[in-house]
Amino acid sequence: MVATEQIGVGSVMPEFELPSITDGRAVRLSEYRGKKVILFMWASW
Amino acid sequence: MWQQLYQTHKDSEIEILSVAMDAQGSAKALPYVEKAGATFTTVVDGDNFLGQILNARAIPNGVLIDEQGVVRHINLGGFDVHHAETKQLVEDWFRQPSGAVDAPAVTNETPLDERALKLFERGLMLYRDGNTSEATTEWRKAIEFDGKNWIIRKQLWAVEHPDKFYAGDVDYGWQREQIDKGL
Repeated sequence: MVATEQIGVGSVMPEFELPSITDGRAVRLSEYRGKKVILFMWASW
Repeated sequence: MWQQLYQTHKDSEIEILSVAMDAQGSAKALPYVEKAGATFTTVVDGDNFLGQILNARAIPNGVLIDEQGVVRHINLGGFDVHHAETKQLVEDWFRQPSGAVDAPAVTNETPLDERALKLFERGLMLYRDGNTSEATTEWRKAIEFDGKNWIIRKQLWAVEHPDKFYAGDVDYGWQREQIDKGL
């Protein structure tokens, strides 16, 4: 899949749903509405 | 360190959402979460969804999203809580009522190579079916199209050389050698 527009400052962050690492529960970005969120991406590599 | 920051601020209206980009999922990433004692949520983006929508070819990445869901800052490749500037930026943002961030965003203006992404995706499906050697073949082809996609390259390295990643500390010296050899 490809984003048709680059996400930048001022864009609304697209909704997504990813599984929790502990129990696999679906976590949606929209659950965080109303709070300031730091989304940070990392990996074991 | 994220946990420390989180503990300090969690009674205000802030949250941390950590995303492990590991194709190998919780098997490889969970130990890090447990070691950090993280009480904030960590999710797994094993299909590189966020990497694609953010046009990222590396990690660590940070996106600061305000209460209305609007992106206020992006840092692709340099968002590390161990760096004083990152920590300061985040703490300043928490205190900033307007939600604005002073620092310029660090984004990637070069579109990601679609062929590389498709091959990476194909490799992920093979990997999940248990066809590891076919998966790594696809990932290697992906790298030929985009040698600078470190999300793909490092994932390939980690699967092919787990001893350089998961037997103690990550062997960055080995990674530098691989880069020098064009591998």
